[in-house]
Amino acid sequence: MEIKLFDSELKVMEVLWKEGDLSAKDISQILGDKIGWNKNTTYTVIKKCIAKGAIERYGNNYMCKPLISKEEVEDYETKELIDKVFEGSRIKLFASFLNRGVLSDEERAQIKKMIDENE
Amino acid sequence: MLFRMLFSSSILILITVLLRIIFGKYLPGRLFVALWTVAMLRLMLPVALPVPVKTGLPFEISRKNITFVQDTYKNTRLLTLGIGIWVVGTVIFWSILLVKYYRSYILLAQSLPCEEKDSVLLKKLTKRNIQICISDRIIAPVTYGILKSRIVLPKNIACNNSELIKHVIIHEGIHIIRMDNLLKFAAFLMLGFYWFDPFMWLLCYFLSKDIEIACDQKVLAYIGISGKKRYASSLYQMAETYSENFLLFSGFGKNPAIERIDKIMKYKKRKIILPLSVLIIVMAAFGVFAADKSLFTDGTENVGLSDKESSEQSSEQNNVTEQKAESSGTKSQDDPVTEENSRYNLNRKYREWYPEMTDEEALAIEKLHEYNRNFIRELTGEIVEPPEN
Repeated sequence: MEIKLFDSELKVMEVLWKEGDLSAKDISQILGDKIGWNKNTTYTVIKKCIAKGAIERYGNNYMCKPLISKEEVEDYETKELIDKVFEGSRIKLFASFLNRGVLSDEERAQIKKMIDENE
Repeated sequence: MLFRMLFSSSILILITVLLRIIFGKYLPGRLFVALWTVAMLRLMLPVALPVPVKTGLPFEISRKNITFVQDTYKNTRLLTLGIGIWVVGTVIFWSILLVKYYRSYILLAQSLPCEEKDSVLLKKLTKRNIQICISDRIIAPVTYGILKSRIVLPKNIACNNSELIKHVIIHEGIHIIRMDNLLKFAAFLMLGFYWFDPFMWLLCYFLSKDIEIACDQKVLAYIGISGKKRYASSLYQMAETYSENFLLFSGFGKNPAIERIDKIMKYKKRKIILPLSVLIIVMAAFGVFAADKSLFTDGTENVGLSDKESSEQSSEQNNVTEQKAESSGTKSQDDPVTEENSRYNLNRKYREWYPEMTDEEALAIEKLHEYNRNFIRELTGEIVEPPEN
């Protein structure tokens, strides 16, 4: 299964992750309101997702079920970023936050807390 | 009519190409776009506008020379074959065009809207609500759609400098105002009809280029001459990334940027340009569409052509009259054209209805009837007798 999803496909996945399983019609309605896609456009993207193995179709009225979770996509994209930009080193990614003063004090405290809790 | 359309449009296209090569540096891109549009209209509209002026050259062909195509049985077959090939070509062309258009459209429709502060600028410019979207699947900005236009920006531009974005928005906005997408669409539609005409291909090639150049010039008019350098650098930035080819839609860095940068850096607005351009366009439209008024007073196709086509037509005339002289020699009744017309009955009943008809016209009509009878006899073997009166 291809994890690499385009922006348009990710948008459809986001709807499914948030609302759970929906029919294609419902998805197109939500996205039509949210970003102005017309029905056919949404259907095309859903079909592409199914072809990529990210969505499974079942039932009579074109119900869609996500086969890939948000976390999986997040992991994949992060790994891509680290490989591409930070030469495969996670430390370097964090270093870029810490060294360049990107983090506010609040954020620093939060991260510290998360590390402690995760032990 | 078709022949006249092809001929005058081809001449116009040729002249425009020459004009572009020689004076391209001094004339505005919009002039060329207008000229291409005139040539395109010529090919789209089978009209001839009556002009109550003598168009100069003395090629008033008299009403008495009625010509007709010497269609033998063989020629009909050739004609049908020709038409068949044309239809196949047109269908293939339009199918390819449709498929390309459809796929581009699908791709661009999947773009995501983005909050762009320049949308205010865009609205002011175009007086319409044009949506600005971002796509992660294109590399150069594109405007698509004719009624419901949208500008799609590539994802990697979104974080770049805002001046580049501003230039892009202005550029695409001008495309929208001028309905360049509609123009391009019409041009490719016509190319489907006229795929056999090499001049039409020339037209399409130059039309795309001149649309972009005209757009650049308008952008400069909008941002002022001082912005020239910065606009050129924007173009250069876009040209650096490999540019895709959205055949039917107007893009930003699409065309070889070098020619465009060159043109904008060198172009200077002169006062004489506007009236001169208008003059050229009017002359072109006139030359291509006008026909003498007498065309409409007696209904024969060959009368009173404007100067461009009459030289061609008169030689066609000569060919036909020669043909006529030849082929009537091969008919069963051997009959040189100029003499021995006594076997034709020039005083038939219909002359009473048209008292102003001359003897020579009656002769021509009788010859036509005889030709028809011979044609049918050769084609089907049926023998048709001339009527009594």
